[in-house]
Amino acid sequence: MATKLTYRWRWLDSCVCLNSRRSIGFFLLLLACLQVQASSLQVKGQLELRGTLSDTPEPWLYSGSGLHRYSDQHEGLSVGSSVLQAQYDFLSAWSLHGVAHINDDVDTKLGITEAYLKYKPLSANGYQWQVKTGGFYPALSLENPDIAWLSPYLYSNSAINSWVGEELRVFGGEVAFSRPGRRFHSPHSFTAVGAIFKANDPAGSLLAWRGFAMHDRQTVYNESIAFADNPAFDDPRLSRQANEVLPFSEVDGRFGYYIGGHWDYLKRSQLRVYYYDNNGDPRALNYKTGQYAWDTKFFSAAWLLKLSQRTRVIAQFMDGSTAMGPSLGVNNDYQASYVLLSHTLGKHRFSARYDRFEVQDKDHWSFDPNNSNGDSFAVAWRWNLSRHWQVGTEVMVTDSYVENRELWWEQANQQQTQWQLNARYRF
Amino acid sequence: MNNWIARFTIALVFCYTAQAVVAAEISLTVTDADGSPLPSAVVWLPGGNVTPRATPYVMNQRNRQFEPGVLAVPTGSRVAFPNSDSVMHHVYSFSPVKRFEIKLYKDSPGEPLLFPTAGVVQLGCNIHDWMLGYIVVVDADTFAVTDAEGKVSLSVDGDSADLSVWHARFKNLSATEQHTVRSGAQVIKVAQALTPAVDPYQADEFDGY
Repeated sequence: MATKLTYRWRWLDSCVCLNSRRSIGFFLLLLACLQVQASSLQVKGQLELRGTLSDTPEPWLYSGSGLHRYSDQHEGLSVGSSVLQAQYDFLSAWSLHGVAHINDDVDTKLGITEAYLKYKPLSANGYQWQVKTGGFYPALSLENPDIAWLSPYLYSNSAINSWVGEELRVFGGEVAFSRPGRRFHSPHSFTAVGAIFKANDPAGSLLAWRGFAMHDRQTVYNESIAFADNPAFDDPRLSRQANEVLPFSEVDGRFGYYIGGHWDYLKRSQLRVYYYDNNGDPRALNYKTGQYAWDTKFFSAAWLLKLSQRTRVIAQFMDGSTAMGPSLGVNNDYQASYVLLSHTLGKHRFSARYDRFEVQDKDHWSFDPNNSNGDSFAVAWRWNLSRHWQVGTEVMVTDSYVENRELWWEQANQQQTQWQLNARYRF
Repeated sequence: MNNWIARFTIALVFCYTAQAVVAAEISLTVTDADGSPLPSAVVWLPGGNVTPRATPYVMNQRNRQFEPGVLAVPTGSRVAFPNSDSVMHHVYSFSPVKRFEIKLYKDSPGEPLLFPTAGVVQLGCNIHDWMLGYIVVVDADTFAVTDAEGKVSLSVDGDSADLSVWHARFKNLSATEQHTVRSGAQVIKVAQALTPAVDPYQADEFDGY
């Protein structure tokens, strides 16, 4: 067991996880303070009230094997996606960015999902470059362009971006270099992106022990996501694995990286291609937190096409692998894809999405089955009542096969249906 | 008495005729070498009594585009840069005629800037890299911008005048070209090499991400 070392990023520990009602109080206090704002401070956010109606099984957040965020035991009213996003500009080229989410699943907490410093100098020759450093998402999704990495289309994210929202976040530096087409009298614009980062070592754990899921819950920094009481963890070979994942923690001390390319045609067609590799050392384990480093890598391609100013299609495909343990006792491949159609009619937006997802178990540990697959269909309607208010609804049906459900004597095949009604106030 | 009426009539006719000579109307269509109309071409009659108006001209930012895409102003004018979008813009120019940068926040009024020197000012936005706009500062009191069909009307003194033309597709953006125009309708074919025509960028509120 070579590398054992390690430490978690504690840099935000003191401020990011405020539990229970205090967090909502803090959120509102923060809002009140920000009413008195300098012009260089830009604050946006939303408060959402969500009513849900759902069925079994229980969500993974409550130790169940369900793939939806809500269930018949955990439905009713919630804060949905309530978020705050702040940007502070200083000098000509610098800006500080912070994004906070309130999650009220399991317990209510306010946490930070992104916090970074950006440097984007003006350019006289038309080429542009920028540097980001801190904690942030790789910009690989075309489904989540709204504030706080939310989706303006459906309420629940695709399988790919549900996973990105819960297990993918980097702490490092990213450089992007662009050739904006319009500056060069061309309809084509190109951007090249490269990043190196620490942390994000346990990414992939949820895909192995739960599979893909369908939701809009973004994990905040220093948050742990619990697994169901997996009997496989009783086996000596997995006994050091905690019954939770700290997806953004550092375990092996190694750097990961990603590279990406964007190609836009008049902003009517947008393509984003990324390759991500956290370069995890599968032998590394943090005994204190029970977290392994997973060797997780994937290729992602996302494409957006505006059929007209009101109608667009978005599609994304991801193909990757993840492995942990000295003998690669957990070793999986995964693929997911979706097609999303969205159309606006006045103040109304109608969206529909079809998802497919699969995790293939390639390892020899038969006591820990990781196979899963499924598909999901969702439709949503959003209605902008005013500049501030929006109401909307979504229904989503997911069919899934998750092999390790049988360890709990559950049916491996499950069908879930979830209804949502949302009202949000945006500021 | 009749004599006075006759004199007055003659004076009226003379004035009318003189007016017709002084201010002739010309209708121009500006096209490329192939005869395709060039919208948003700036045309002006150099010289004249250049007096900038008291109220600032406006270069708006709406729907993540400069509006208008091409603005012509006489030297000494002030231009305001209001932000009509719900997002921030960071407008800048590296053109020697006027170098500046302004961060324009949501609902920001945008302080007017003075443009004392004639020439072409290319505008960009550091946040939305597809945004491109031009302010053409002219030493003239008669100027206009062609419409979507490449058409424009001007009043000229006398039967003919020297006309300057500029277009954003000129390969050399700081170059203008001169034509002699006569009263009536006529077509101006620009001689300069043009960059390829690019269809409009179709950006919306979710493209800044």
